Amino acid sequence: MGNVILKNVVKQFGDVVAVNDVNIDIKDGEIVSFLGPSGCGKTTTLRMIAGLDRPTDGEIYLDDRLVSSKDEFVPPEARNLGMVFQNYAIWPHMTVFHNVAYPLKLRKVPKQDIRDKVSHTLELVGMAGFEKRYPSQLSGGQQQRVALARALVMEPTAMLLDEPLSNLDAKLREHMRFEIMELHKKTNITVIYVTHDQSEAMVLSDKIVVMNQGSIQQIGDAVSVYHEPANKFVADFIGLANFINCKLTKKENHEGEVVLLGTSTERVLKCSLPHSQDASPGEQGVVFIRPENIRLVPPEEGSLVGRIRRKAFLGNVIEYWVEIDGQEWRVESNPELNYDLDTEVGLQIKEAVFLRD
Amino acid sequence: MKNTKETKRRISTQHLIFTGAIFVLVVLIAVPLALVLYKSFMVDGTLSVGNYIEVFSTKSNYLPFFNTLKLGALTVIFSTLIGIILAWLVARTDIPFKGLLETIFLIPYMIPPFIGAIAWTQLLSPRVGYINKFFMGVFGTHHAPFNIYSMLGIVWVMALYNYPFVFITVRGALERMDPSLEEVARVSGAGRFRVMRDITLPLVTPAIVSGMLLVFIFTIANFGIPAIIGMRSRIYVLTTQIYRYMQMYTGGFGGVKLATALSTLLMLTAGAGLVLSRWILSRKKYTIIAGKSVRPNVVELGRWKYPILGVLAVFIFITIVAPLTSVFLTSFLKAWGLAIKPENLSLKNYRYILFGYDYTRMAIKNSFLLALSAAIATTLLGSIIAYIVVKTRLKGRRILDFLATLPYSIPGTVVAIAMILAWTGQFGINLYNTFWIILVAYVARYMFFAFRNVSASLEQIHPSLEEAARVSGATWLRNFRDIIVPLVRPGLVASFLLVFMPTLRELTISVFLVGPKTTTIGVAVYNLQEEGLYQISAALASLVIVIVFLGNYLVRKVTKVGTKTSF
Repeated sequence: MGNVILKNVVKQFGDVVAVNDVNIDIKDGEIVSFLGPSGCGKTTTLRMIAGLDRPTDGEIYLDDRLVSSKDEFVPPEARNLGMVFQNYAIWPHMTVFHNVAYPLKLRKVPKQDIRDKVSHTLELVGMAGFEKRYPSQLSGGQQQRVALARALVMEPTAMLLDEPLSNLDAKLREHMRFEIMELHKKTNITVIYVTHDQSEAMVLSDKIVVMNQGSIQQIGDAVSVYHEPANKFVADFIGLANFINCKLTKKENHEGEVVLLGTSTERVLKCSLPHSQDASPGEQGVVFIRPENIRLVPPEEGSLVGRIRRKAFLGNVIEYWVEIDGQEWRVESNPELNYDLDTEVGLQIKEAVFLRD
Repeated sequence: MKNTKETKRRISTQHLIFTGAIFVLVVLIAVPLALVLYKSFMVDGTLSVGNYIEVFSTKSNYLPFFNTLKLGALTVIFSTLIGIILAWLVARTDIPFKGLLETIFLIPYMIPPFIGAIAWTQLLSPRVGYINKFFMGVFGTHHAPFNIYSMLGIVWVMALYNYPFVFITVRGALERMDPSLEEVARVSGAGRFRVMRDITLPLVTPAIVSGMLLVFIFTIANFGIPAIIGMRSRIYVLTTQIYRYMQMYTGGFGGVKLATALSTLLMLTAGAGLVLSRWILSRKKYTIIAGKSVRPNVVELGRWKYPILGVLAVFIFITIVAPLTSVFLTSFLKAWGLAIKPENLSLKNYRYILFGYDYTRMAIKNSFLLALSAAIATTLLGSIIAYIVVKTRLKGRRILDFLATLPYSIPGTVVAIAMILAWTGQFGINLYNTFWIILVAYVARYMFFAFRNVSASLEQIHPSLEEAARVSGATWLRNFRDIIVPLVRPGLVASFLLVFMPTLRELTISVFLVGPKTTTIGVAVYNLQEEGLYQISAALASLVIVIVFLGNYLVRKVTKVGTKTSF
């Protein structure tokens, strides 16, 4: 068990920069997600930690040991890591027992200890009794558990998971999320988890590393990346959001006021500035508002007034698209407040964040 | 009401076609092959194992059997080694010129084996072989370092023309294998060689075994190589021994009895290979799992890169460039044995075989006619069978599948003997010494190519395409014409060419079946070679090679278009 540190890591494939100057500090026992759209460099970063790809530049430390730099490169087999792939990568020619025992066998662990550790680990992932089965006789979820057991069995410095749940169906995926959390609680192993699914990242991780086009956009816990996104990309990638062009008019510490642009009458909104402290009044940007942070009220009570153009009943909420001066605002509202189409409504903004463009 | 009527009519037409197809295959394939088995147990009109006792009690009979086993085993070993190494280099290393190397390594697959054998006798025959002469000149000796006319000579040539089977299957498996299976082993703590031993090798084993089986079956069934290289030094294998028997007793049936017994033995040996490989494969409860990423792990050869490329260049030069050059150069020689100098070269041999010599002109005409008819017949028949097997739910369609596939694993020599037994008056029809017996044998033997090819195209047509046509208002026949036929057209063209090319230069079957007026190109090349007219046979062989290369180029083009348009 140990920490994982990346310093100024760069990876180029030919002329393409896949990972650009990445710095991450993962503490012992933390569970960290790399989150981003496909092609953002998250998997490449994970593979560099594993030693499957060699960085073009920068340094990687595992458990305070330098494993990768310009002159130094420790091959994957000497890094003491566990890894789980999207397609499980269970060796089809070995039984469940031999799959899980393989890392121990390579470390020349005595036979009796191998047996004990394998059965203990299989029990941990809920696969006790499946030792003699072949992978072809297992379901997707079961293969996933075997892959987890194989990655855990030799108590690695860290466990790397590359989109491990994306091949499972929705129900099973949710179930496995909690199993991974439980497993992490029991073993307290450092976990790095690559995913493009924001809710998975939010449920699982102590820390989320949001990436786009090879660069880190923000590192923070679920609450901060959701409520205080560092930029428009993060705000847009995680959850739904309305973005409205605006100009900052007032600023005091983390609070301020903006005036919306492109509206017929002057509309002023209060907002917070978690990542734009150095912004000064007069600067243009966007104000970002989550749909659930807007309340629909009678027109005279709202700070903004618009007309309902579309609506969708989603069970726990009703989603409305409200047109204000030619712009559509997405609003999520309590299903008890059921407005008809073309009704004029007022909008109360509970929380808005100013972001520089 | 109208609909049920139409369905009924369609089913009855289907049944009619189905019964017809079964009948044709039984007459064409099942009955002749059964006759071989039956006759091998007949002595003077009674059932007996006398023929087999005779086979196993005379040295000249059992020796060919053991030679066949020995040749098969040695060839499998060498081909597998060459095939695996080349496949690994192309699929898993950063060797330069990969695409080119891949194409080059498949060239031996296109060259007719007996022409390869002729080329190697030109290179390695003691005293006059080009390579031997070169070595004797360099070292100033009169002792030739190589003698092609030996068991090892046969194995060498056989391995060179058979390794592509292993190369193709293993390369495919290495490329399709999910790279994460190996990566996870690395992360688990296994070094590069450990991964190869524990993960890669076990996972490609099924592919290796399939490749080995193909090599074995083709080797023991091959006639041309042991005939051209082995007969001169009296090394006989089953195929050549059967040929001897049929030659010895032309007209009479004395030799036929022993030939049928040896044929049955040959068939059983091929069958045993098949069963053995099936057994090995069935013990592996997995198939290669295709990965989603198409980025196999590439081993960087580093400083070995160019030395290895150099070794490959030498390998290619010796095994491909030298034999082909030898055949081409010899074909321009005014007379065999002359030094290769500009004043000794001319187009005279080509003029002779194309315009002067009636024997070769007849052979060329016959072979083209045979190949054309066989290709048309197999494509037609193969398409019908393929449609029934793939697109209908008729009971018993598996029998068709089996019957159409069967002759492919049965050595051509056995097919030839079977045709002689069935069509020389046995059922009141005597086709012996006619064009037709060769055609029937070709159709029986090569139907497999057409059937497999069209089946593959048909399987790619999703049922919803047909269903959409039916829903849009097309009748079954209309759907067939407007949807199915256009979609399988590339498959039809490919299957035509895949039958046309091997039948054009066929030797193994036709050497048994040709009459005075029905000789084929393959037989002509073989006979000219045996009579010592090396430069004439080389000219005819060169012609064949050029046609085969052109044909392969066409197949490549057609199948490429095919994958684009059908889905």
